[in-house]
Amino acid sequence: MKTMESINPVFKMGAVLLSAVILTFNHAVILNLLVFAAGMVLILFFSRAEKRRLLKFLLPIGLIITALFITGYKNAEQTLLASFATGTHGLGGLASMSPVYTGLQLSTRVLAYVGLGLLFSLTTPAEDMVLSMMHQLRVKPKFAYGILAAFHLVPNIARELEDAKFAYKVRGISCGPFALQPFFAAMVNCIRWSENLAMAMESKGFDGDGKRTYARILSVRPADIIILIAVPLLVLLGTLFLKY
Amino acid sequence: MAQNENRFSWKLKDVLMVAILGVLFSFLYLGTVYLGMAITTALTPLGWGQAGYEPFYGILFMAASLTVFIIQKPGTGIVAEVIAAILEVLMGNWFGPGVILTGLIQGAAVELVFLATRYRRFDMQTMILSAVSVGVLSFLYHFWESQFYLYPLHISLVMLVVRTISSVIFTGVIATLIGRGLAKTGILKSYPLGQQLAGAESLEVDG
Repeated sequence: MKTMESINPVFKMGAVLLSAVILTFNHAVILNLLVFAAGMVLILFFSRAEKRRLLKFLLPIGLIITALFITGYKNAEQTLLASFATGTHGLGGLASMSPVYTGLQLSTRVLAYVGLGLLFSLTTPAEDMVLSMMHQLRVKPKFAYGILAAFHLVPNIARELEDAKFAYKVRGISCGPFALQPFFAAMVNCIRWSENLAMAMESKGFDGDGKRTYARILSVRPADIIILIAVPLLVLLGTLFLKY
Repeated sequence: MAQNENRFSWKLKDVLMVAILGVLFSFLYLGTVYLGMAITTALTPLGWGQAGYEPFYGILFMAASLTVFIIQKPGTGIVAEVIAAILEVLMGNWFGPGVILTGLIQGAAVELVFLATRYRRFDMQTMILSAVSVGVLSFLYHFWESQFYLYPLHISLVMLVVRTISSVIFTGVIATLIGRGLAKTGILKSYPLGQQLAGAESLEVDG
């Protein structure tokens, strides 16, 4: 295996989703940290992801996990769980942990999700994801290319919204950042676009339901299947056997 | 869902409309993220930081409720939320494919109320009920997924109430008004909402 980008996107998505669902049953801080660390190592050393993008994401995440940690730390004695459960094993045992541990449980859970999520988002090119949806999940071309078209329109949609705000400014109407009027104007134009774009695509011979040929077909290799099974399995083992 | 003959068959232009509106709504939400961060920072020392984003949750559900309101067919809310979620993953979301799971639940929660009316009633009342449904059900999902059971009860309750109010305002009232406004401009002629409101008003010219 070369880089994270070479894993089949649908199989990578399956591995990430299954792992995330298993993690909702996990209460071990160590496993959460391991998952996050694994994600970061894979992004930093085994992918072509832009490292600066990673940094941009990690700053707001730092704020969120700090907030989570303090929420858990300050209120550990009066958690909902503690008020229901007493005892030293199972959920009751979970509730009788120290404040620091409660804080860590809340904050590292999010870190683990973020490690998995960023591993997928930063190492999966949009086109690969969309092709893989068509080839492996049999999503119809109209959905796949519709999504891809909207993705490539993102900068234009942003400019449309800016233009609409500017148009209001020119007329001397000041709008705050949350004003709905320019947003509404942009929406009207965007709905027009969607009709025009659909017409343009179809007039070029695009058939949203029919069979088509592909310049690139994303294949499934044995490594993809192993990843889909092994990664969630490792997380499951960690959930079962790691205590803290 | 029993009424297969009633199912909406998606055309390319419908997919594009939903996808492009999804992007537009994500901009609206991104605009509030900094405000959410500021509130979170301010509340963090009190141990209430997690509630900082709750006032804006309604914006997250708007794409789904507006789509159901416009197209008025089974499954449209779920498909719209999943399309919006996939786009968010493509644009780079730190929870990655996890948002597709959240999208499925939110789309289903939005549709629940309309399913109960057999997709016959689309007015302010059902839109507000649907907003309450998605506010409460998405909270229950997060309760499990983000371990809200490790919060004190009163914090969870305040978060639930704030989220539901936000949902009623944005997903219920504002989405309905936007839908009606769009129908008035005439661009929704080919959709049930446009036909429902046809004849009420003729034109409202934009630039």
